[in-house]
Amino acid sequence: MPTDNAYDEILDTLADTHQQRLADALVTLEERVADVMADAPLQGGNLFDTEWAINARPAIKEAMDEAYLSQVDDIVRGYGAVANEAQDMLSTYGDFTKLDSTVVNQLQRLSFQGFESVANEYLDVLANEVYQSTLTGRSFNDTVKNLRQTINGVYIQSDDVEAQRLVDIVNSGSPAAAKEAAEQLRTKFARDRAGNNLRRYSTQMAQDSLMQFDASINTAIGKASGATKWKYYGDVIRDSRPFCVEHANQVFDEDEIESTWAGSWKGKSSGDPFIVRGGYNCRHHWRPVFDEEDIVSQPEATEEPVAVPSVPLLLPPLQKKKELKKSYDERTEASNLKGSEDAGQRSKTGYPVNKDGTFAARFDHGHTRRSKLTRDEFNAKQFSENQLAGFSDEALSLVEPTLLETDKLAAKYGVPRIRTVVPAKGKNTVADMGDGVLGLNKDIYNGYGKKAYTSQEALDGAVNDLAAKTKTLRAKLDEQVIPYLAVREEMVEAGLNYTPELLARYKAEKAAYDKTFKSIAKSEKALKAARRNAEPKVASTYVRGGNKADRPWASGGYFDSDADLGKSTIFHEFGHNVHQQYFVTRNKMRRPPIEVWLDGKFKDKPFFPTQYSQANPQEWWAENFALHNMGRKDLVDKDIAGLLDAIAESNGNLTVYDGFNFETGEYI
Amino acid sequence: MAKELELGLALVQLEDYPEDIIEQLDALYEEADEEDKENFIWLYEAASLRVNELTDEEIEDE
Repeated sequence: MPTDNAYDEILDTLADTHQQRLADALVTLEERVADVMADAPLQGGNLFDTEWAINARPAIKEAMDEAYLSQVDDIVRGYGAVANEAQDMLSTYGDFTKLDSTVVNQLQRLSFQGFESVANEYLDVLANEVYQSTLTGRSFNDTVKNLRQTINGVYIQSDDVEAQRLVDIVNSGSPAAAKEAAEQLRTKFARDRAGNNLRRYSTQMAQDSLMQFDASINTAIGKASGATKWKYYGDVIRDSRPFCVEHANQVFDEDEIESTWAGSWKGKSSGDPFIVRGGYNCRHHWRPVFDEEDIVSQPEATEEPVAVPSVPLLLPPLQKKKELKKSYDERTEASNLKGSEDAGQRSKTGYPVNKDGTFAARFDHGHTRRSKLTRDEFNAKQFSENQLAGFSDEALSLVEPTLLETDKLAAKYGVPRIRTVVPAKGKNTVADMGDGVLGLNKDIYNGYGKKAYTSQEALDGAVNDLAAKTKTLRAKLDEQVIPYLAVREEMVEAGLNYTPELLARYKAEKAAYDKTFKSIAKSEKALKAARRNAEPKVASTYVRGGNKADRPWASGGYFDSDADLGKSTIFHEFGHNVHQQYFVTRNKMRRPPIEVWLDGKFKDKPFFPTQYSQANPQEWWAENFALHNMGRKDLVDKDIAGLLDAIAESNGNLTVYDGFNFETGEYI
Repeated sequence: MAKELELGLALVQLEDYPEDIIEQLDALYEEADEEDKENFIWLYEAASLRVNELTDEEIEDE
């Protein structure tokens, strides 16, 4: 658990990262807006088409949404992790009330709305600039420069090598170098700040929004826990306000805070002292303090029990597919592959068989005539042979121990073990389960495997590489846009009298520009995916009784590692095997007893631990089954939890429960 | 919940699936944001249980 100083460092680093991410997003936005402008009809290098100008607004809005607000959304979603860190930090100093996830959610929404409001304001400024410049027939180049400056001020992307070098220093250099570079941009290149630009607001908001979110969380937790004293803490740096230097690391009661913060100082902002702290850009924080802080105390719990910790899967050793294949095949050849000899028997010791001794099937496993096999022959192959081609070493290493765990669950719940592992049938299906055949999506599981076995350093490295590549491509586009626009203008001026040479030149410049533009889009998409990969997975903090909108989509959302995500998915699939096979005979294969019971319970508006569990009775069961066996019984519907516990206690032989006969599939 | 996820969830909750349910899911999947696609793939899992179930005739053929 982090101390307050460690937590301060986490927040500072996060604020810096958010500022950089928004700065990058604004560079993208600048290029996107310039690209919208590249389609503007021109006469002698000037804008003239007001109808086009009016229609440019939706395109600029789209750019704003995609390049800027989507990044803001990503950042604000990450605030949930800050709330968890805050709770962890406070628990270093005592027992504090856990904050309702609804409050966290509302604060996140408020933070996003702050950014959204600024984005809308600047959308108006940009759209009006385009329209007014068109109305007055202003030069295209001047208009684009103005638009760029409205977004990034002095830091606009440039076709001048020296100016761009200075912009790069401002973006990535040390604070001192950045300050000097900004000064040179203003003097040497006569770039004024173009008033208040979006970057200026964004940089400040990235910092203040995060710090105010943190302040709201800490204050709410402290007040709910009955704290009356507060410590004002945080690093004192060169730029710290004298007010903060004087008061840092002191403890105040609420009356003292009120009187001390009633004064005035440079940079103070109005509002609640707990929220605004030292003022704009302040990196100091409040945390509640109890007198007995240094004494190990165990005050009574003041709220509902917090979530039971999950059972994390230790990362299994990475093995080669060749070695793993043996293990997969050995378990597939085990005794549970035998069918029940009598078609009328339950399937506790094996899967149901037809009268002729072949395995009975409820599901289509992809049989086609092209296979030149009968359905029975085709199914027999599916039921006895793993199909591991295309699965990576990492994916198979990750899945193997989980399969062994499902074998134990099979014994516990009295159903046959998973027979084989094959690729999932649909290209977009995460996994599927039927007749004991587990289908896993190769791409998705290879992804889980790759991330699980890749160091954070390597994931961060991939982000840096792609960011550098994107930057290089943007610089290339900047070089290409000038000749492209020039030849485009020549074509417009030439009208129908263009020469073949001019046409060829136009086509070549346009093709080169389009190619780079597409490469940027591809690179940005890869960068976004790499950033998502590199971001630590944050487990949902939803607890029973909380805001339903905060539930994760699927059960894997309750776990913070890809290894556990992969495991919970396989447990979910094995849950399907339980409802498909418990007390199932050939005659009951299409209407298994548990499924009859589930249909009735599902109609009674049960507890849904995830959004996806609302899909249908079987998915409701499978989601609950996964959570029950992943150590999150606190999130399991009471009826399902009761039945699973009862089956386990009976060693898989429970016939009657809650007035329902699971052998006959009927209520008594 | 994103619109595509909401519509997809409503589709797999239907008592009677439309014949082209997978195509309808495909169309929504294409529209979904990259992040939502990671969730959307579960809806194919929900549909697969019923879509892949053998018909009475196919069972009789066994």
